[in-house]
Amino acid sequence: MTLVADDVIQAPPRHWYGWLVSDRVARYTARVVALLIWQWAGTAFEEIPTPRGTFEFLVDEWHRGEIISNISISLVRAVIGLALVLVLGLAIGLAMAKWWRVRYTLTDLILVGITLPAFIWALLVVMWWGFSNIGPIVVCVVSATPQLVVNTFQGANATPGPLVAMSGAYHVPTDRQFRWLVIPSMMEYIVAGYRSAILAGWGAVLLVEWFGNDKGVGFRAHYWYDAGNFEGVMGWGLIMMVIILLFDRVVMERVVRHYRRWRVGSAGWSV
Amino acid sequence: MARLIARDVRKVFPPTRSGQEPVHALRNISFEAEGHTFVTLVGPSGCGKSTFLNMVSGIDQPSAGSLQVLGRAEGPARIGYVFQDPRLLPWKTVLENMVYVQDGGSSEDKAAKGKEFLDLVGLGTSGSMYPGQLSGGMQQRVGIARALSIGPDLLLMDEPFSHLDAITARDLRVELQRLWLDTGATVLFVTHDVMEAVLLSSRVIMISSQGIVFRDLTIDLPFPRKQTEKEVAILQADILQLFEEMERPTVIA
Repeated sequence: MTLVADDVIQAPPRHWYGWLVSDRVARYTARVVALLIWQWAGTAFEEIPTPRGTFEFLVDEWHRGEIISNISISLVRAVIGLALVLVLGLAIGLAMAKWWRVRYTLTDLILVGITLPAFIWALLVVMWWGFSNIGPIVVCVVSATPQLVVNTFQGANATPGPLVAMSGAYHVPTDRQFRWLVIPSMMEYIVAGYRSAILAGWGAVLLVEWFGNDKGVGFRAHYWYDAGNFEGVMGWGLIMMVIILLFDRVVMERVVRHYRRWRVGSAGWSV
Repeated sequence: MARLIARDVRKVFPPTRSGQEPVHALRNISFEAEGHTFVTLVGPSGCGKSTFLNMVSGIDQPSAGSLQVLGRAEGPARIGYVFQDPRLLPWKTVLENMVYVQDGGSSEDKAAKGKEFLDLVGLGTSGSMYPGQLSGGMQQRVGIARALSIGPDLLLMDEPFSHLDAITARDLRVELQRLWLDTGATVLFVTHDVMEAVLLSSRVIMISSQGIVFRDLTIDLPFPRKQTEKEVAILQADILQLFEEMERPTVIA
């Protein structure tokens, strides 16, 4: 058989409407559709605030000086809590993987941590510590740490045995094995666990602020709830959501891209 | 160069469940290898060849007998190990994989040494690539470079070409002969491919499926050898004949 030029497979032709089916357009379309539904619902039902009403409320709240101060307070609590979660989650998860006594001692406690709702913790810490910074941080830690512990434990058990054997055969020092082999092989698990922990921890901080605090994003949402102001509740709810989305997009996605850079062709991955 | 002394080495794997019999992987393996020699353990799959290499490397311990590897200098002998699969850290670059196994010296020294041995196997320009970006043959060459880069007294190779296509494996066998002649290392190689054993080795130790040394043969052909040489084919046929004899059941009258 002779191959002639016409037999060569050509790239599919690009249509003028190609951009309409791109992933970027799909993402923006979803956002616009959500906004339109919100606008329609706000117009149709009196109890639901419109996007415009919510935006105007946030501008007023900004002028009252409430936005930056309350966000800062909640963020400081969340950052302290989530930093503790990272340290404790990794340490406990690794200890459970390395020592069976630790594993059997802590398994039930971790299960309790996972199953006991943050709502219960929130009520307890308000009773114990009242309106202080301790409550939100403690609930953040007890609610989020188990998520990271479980993933770290699973990751530590997933370290490839053949690579461990190779490292043993070459007498690679233990600290280098830990930094170059164990931790990178666990990254997939750690990042997934920490992402869940961030969601759980941030939610826990807001919950405690809602139930028993006089500062923070959760408190401010509760304040407007008590005042019967729908725009206020919706506006602060929007802030809660935007903060977590921004953190996930700006920090966590970059972390994921960084540790996945060794995967061939990973540059264009969307996570 | 190293001196390897194996005396009555046995390996028994205990049963993992009640009612199971222990598995005798190796029984009474004894031999010595010394100097610039290329020793190949050849035998059927499951005869304990890889187990023996793991015990020499220290990954595993013998159940009985003794294994000694004496290096050139004081202290433990340096042992390089090339595995069946390359066993590279996939999240580290090729050069970082070379640095991973080095001990002593600054980071720059380790990188320079890694680069030197990558050059030796023709991968000097691939240091910044990740293993996943290399072909199977290139990855195995990195594995060989890594083993050589530690300046091994003894180089262990466990069927390093068994996962590669025939053409790549042929090229790497030629390359391995060159490297062995250049470095003067003591090599302990494992394969179930008789042709490969004849082509590469100065000595072939045949292990039976019962895990005992059946024959210890000297291959007295000049290096470098080619797969297409008549003498290689004749020796291969002779050894295969010996294998048939080895596996033939003994009839007791």
